[in-house]
Amino acid sequence: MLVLFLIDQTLLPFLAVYESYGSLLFTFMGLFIMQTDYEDAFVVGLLSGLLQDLYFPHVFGLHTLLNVLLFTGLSRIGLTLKEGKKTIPVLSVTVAQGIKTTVIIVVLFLFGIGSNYMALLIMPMYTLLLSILFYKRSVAYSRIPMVKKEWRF
Amino acid sequence: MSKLWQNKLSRRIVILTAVLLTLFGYTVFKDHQMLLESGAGAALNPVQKVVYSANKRLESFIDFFLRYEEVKLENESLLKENIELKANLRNFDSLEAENQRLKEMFAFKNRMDQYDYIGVNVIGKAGGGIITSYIIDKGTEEGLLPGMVIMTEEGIVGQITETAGTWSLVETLSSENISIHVTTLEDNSSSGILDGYVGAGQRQMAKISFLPVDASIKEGDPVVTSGLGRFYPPGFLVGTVTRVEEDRGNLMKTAHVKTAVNFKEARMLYVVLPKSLEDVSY
Repeated sequence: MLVLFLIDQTLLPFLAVYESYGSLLFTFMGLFIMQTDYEDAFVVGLLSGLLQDLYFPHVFGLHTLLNVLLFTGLSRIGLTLKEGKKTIPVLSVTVAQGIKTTVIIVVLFLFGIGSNYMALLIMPMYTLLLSILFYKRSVAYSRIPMVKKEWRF
Repeated sequence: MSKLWQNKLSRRIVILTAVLLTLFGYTVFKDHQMLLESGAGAALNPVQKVVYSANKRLESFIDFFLRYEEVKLENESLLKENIELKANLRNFDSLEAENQRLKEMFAFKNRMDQYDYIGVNVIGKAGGGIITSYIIDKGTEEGLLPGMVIMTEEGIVGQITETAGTWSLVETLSSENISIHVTTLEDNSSSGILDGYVGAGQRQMAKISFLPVDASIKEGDPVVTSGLGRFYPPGFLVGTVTRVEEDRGNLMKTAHVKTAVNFKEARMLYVVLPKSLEDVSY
């Protein structure tokens, strides 16, 4: 998670479109969460949100709250899906990023804090691209024995 | 409601939401980072600095090859400009010597000497693509405070918005959250607050609003800091006026300004610190 966060801070900004870029941390963890349960969704949402809030200017807590709620929702969607289907997870994470960006921009606007409105369009598109690229890796990551919880009878 | 409370996950989410909303309300207008953010940032910054610097060098390297012809033409024009400036410098040397003599004679205090200039490095980008903000590697331990300006040798580029112990967040002049008091070189009556915005094609722009309708500001005028409040020295270049809009109904003008320095291309960055903070409150 730290590595993904560092990539978000140091590499993705150089690939920005109209000063906006996606979040590899949110995208990868969102895809990962769709293959796990609610408990993991809560913890992953909390940790990833705290990392994203760390350097976010003007407010603290917004990313954490939104990540927990959205990841819980994504986990619920993931439970109903058949394994191997790529379209729904990719679109779900994209929509989740769109909702998150919209809520953040609206909240900042209500408090009189200016933000980049192009992010409303760019961030979901960027997330869609990252989701398509990293879907298989996130599935592989969720299958690593250390990561996956295995029930033994 | 009771069903919500019985479920373990729902209970956790409700408690977390309450805690986070409280935290959110507490931090929304604070300009100093909390202990958690400050400490975690201090731990991550060294790695972030290395990776960001490496990527920045790679970007410059690729940019050089993509813009080779442009760089060649720029180099030729800079050589010509250098020759002209050297000739001017010879004339200015004698003027400066006379100026210095007069200053000593009248014990004139140079306002520039009332400020320190601390070199800083950009170690990452913050804001997650929603707010354009940069992380620099110095904070309150070096005396930095929110509201202090960031500059290069060419002019002002931005302002510190939040500080932690060993790092700070900076927003550029084109950010809507930044405002600096400015004036024009020709006429001090054309002064006002400069606010940032992003123009067409994502150009870094700013505007001075609520100028009196009879202000003599016009296209092409250089805009500089006024030094009001003694937060920063006067006379530092901010940008150039690109157009002036008149609102005769409200008897005011708005001057649109193109910023002089592009933050992304800036090399050496400095924070301007007043030597004495007694008369200055950020």
